[in-house]
Amino acid sequence: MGSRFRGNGRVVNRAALIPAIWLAVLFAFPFLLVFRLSLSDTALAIPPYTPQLDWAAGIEGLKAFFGALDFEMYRRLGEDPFYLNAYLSSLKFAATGTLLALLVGYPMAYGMARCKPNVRSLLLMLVILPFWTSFLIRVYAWVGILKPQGLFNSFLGLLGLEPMTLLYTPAAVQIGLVYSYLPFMVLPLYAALERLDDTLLEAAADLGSPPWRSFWQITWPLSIPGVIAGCLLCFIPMVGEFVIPDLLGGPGSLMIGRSIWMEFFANRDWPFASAVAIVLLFTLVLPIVLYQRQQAKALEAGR
Amino acid sequence: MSKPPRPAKPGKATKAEGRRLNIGAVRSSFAPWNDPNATPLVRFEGVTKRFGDQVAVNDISLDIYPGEFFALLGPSGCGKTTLMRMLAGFETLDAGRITLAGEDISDAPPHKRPVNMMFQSYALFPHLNVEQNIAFGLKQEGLPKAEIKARVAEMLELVKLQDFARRKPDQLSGGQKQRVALARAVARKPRMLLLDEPLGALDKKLREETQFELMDLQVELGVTFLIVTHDQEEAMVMADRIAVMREGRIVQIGRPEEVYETPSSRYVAEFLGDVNLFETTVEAIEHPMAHLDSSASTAGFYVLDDDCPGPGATVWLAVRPEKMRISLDPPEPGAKNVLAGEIWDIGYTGDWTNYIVELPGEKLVRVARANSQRFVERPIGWDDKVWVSFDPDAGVVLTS
Repeated sequence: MGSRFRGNGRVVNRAALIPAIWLAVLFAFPFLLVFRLSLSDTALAIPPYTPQLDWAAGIEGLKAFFGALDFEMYRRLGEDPFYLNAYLSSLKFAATGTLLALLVGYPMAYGMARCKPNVRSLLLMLVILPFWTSFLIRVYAWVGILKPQGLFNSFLGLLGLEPMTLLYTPAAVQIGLVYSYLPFMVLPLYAALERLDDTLLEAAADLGSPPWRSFWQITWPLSIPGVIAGCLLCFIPMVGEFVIPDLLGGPGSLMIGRSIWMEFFANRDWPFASAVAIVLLFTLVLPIVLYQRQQAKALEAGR
Repeated sequence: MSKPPRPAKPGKATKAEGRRLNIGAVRSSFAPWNDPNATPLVRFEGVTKRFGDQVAVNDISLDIYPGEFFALLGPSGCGKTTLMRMLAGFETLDAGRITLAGEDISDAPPHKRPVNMMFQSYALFPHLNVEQNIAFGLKQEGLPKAEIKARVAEMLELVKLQDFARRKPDQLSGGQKQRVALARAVARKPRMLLLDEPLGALDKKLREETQFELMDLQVELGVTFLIVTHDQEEAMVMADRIAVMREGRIVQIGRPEEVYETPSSRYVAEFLGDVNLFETTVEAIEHPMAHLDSSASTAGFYVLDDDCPGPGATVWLAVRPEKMRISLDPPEPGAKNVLAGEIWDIGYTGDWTNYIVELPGEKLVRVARANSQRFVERPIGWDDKVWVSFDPDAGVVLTS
């Protein structure tokens, strides 16, 4: 641990600058821009908000600028139950979708991890394969499946069952969410389960534990890092999802991503849309922080 | 660390001890395998296991007696681990059966067998601490909490890990992990403890210490131990009996000194320790001596005629390096089993010196000499001319 390694340390620090710059340019700067917008007032102008910073006025202009910024949009947001409902509804959609993805994804990942290595890579390939097609097209495909005379209802008809109204219902949004984010659940789960040492299960059996109990005592607790990673990878983007509720959902499937779009493009209310976005961001920061902490812990345990 | 005196194993009447049994430096009266009335704890009967077209275990029959410390010894791929895993229930049998205390357990799932295994990788549960690892097997039995706690405390004391109860496995050293694995495996008081290369991951010093600790533990617990190892020294130090395996079969079973001093074949002789082998032809039987003709010595060899086939047969004479003498002076005229040669190589290990001697005809012979004195008047050096000799009872005649 002498001075010999200092040179190396400096190289590592310099390399760490790259993600720092990346974050500053692509996250911190846009965030500040949106935050500043959320403190502005709506105006019939181009750009559609006030105040504008007048550089020519010098210190006075700066004073006037900061004096005009306020939290009015956030107050409006709190007063209008529509947005609170949209947030809650988004969280509900995302939570349900994440849970369903976990229920579907866990057996999938478990089955894959139990396969022979050559079959495993094939199955892994199949999980990733949908990414070769555009996300938008895949969601559109669900319109074809779920519409009144679509594939699903034709199938029900073949079985002699009544057709179901699915398209433009919350159920359609839920299906779309689970379908789209399933790979993000399966992959971390698979990574956790594949790493599991089989001799641990043999040891558990040797110590008198029947297979199903070994699952709950060994496999499940050791796969929890994968479960957490998968859930966060699904939950966070699901909350802000815009395309799926827009294409598959009806008026009943209120989601916050769509509200932001409407405020921004339909109402041209940039400051308010920004406030909605900022609140959404902070709703999601909590799980992200939890995720980070979990990752740090896993890293420590892995050593 | 002071060791308690080792209690004597439950003694059984032994056979009248002839010269054959009176070999080696160890005397033990524990030999249930010689007692026709003793009942084995475990019986393998014609056990066979195939993986694809490869026969891993080939028609093995073997009895292991209560209280025994039994070793399966062989190179990797000889089927020893498969045989043990079949006893634990991790491999199914293709033929034959296994009984434990008279009960057929061939088809019982692993969690229903009264044996426990200590895994080569230890297989400690990484999400559980030392205490929870040891308690795992007891929890499966549904024992009351207080009893589990007491038993765990007892086990922690047994392996001297009281201060590490709350540590996770990755906060332990290799030796400590090994102890946790051991405590976890014996916590359920199994009928039999299976140890798969238990000392393989430890360094030499710790391995030697642990060997003796395992032996003490076995006597203390009164549990039958079956150990799988490729390390002949480990097997010889610890085991009451050793089964030497080769390509799915047992080639010899016996006490360590029997297997070492009277190997049944060249394979066993070479696998256990070092040996010099001379291909010879039986010249004449002059009871109690056999005269063997060999290209290595013009005078031939004279050895005890035990198990020696009649004149004309091709046999191998096996002589251990430590049973040969080496000298710079020619022997007295008329001495038997003398080979003249030149020093080819010298390996000094501190306690022993190994001399590789080249005989005429480029045959190399290994002679080991204990360095019982600190100073030698005339040390042997490279290229010295030396005489190697051995007594007629030092060699073993092998027919296969």
